[in-house]
Amino acid sequence: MDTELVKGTLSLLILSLLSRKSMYGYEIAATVHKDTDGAFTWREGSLYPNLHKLEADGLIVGEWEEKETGRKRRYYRITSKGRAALREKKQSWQELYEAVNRILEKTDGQA
Amino acid sequence: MDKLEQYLDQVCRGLAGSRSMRQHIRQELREHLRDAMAGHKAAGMSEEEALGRALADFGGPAEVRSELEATHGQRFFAVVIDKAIEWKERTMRAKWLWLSWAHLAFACVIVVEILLLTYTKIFLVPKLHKLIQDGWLPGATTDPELSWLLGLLAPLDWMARYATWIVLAAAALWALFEWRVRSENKSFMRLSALGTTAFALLVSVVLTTMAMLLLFFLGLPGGVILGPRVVNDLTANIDASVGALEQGIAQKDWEAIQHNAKRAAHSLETLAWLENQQNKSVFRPKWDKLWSNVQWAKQNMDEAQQAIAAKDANRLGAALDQFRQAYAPVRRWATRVQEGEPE
Repeated sequence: MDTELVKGTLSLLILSLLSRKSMYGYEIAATVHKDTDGAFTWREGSLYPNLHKLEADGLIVGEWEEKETGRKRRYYRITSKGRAALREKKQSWQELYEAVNRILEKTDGQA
Repeated sequence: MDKLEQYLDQVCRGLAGSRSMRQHIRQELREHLRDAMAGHKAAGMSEEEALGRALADFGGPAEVRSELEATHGQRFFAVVIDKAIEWKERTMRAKWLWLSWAHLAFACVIVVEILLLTYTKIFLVPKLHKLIQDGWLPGATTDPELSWLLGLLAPLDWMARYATWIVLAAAALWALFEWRVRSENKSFMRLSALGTTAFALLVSVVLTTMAMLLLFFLGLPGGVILGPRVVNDLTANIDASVGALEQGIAQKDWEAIQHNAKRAAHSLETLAWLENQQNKSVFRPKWDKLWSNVQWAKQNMDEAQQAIAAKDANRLGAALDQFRQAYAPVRRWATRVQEGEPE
């Protein structure tokens, strides 16, 4: 899948996943991989600048948690501002999806 | 794990923000990569393969760093440090190239010098000694101004005798140096040692060559040195040879007799050869009268050599008596010339 398309939808995916439950970075990457059957090919490193940007914008909050194994992980949870942003983004994505589909369907009819 | 930390260094280098925040980012990325590695190892990969795969999935350090910098900004000093590191790496590469070239050049010079000295020792010096021994270079042994040059060839004999020990000692010193010395100037120290060795060998080559050339050209009877001194050298050589020959007769040492008769004959031949050269003008007018004596003495020395070959003592004694009679005027004239009396 086009990496640029994935990058453009990354914040939507992150917010969507965090609306399910709190997750840490690797867990988000692993869930995306699992839920899309590996269809998304992206640089996992791109995840963190997006997470940090969302956190700076107040859409998510990150907190360190120490596990029993001694490993520390930074869990992110969505904020109420983040949920509102998610709804907007979903709406935008839906509109975009429908608009793009309409164009593609018309083009397919002429092809 | 060094590879992982190096990767994180490259990614997190230069990020703006507080030290604590940068440490948190680094820690978060490290944990992600460790989780990814654990996942790949669980799938059957080796530690190294798992790390390689985790880093590849995470993205190139320059790209990830660029994206992080877009979010967090870049430290001003990081830019300066990056430039400094880049400059240092470039300089280090240039330094390595120049140092390698200098080492190679010095090593080549040393090899050529050693080959030259070996060739001189094996082929040239024995030929020079043979010429001296056979009386072709009388000045080389009788002239104190030249004989000291033979001393310059002595170190060559010493080096040849102890060549194995010298090579072993040099190898041991080198190994010790490479093993023990941990200075940052190690390359320059090695280069200095090579340079000093090359210079010392160059001095040896120059001195050896100079000694051989001077001994050859100045030792030749009719070569560079003309005039009365030539005759003096030759007659001194004949005197020494005949004296040793007589001593050999007394000791009945035929080998010594034969050797010294050969030396005397060579000197007489050289003396006769001079007559055919331009040197006539130097020795005239007495030379014309002495020429017949030189020829006579030479004939008797040839007769003496035949008697020696036959080991006929009586015939040898008779030939030497005739030789002395023919040679006496030549010797007297040579003495007068040497003392500066008119010819």
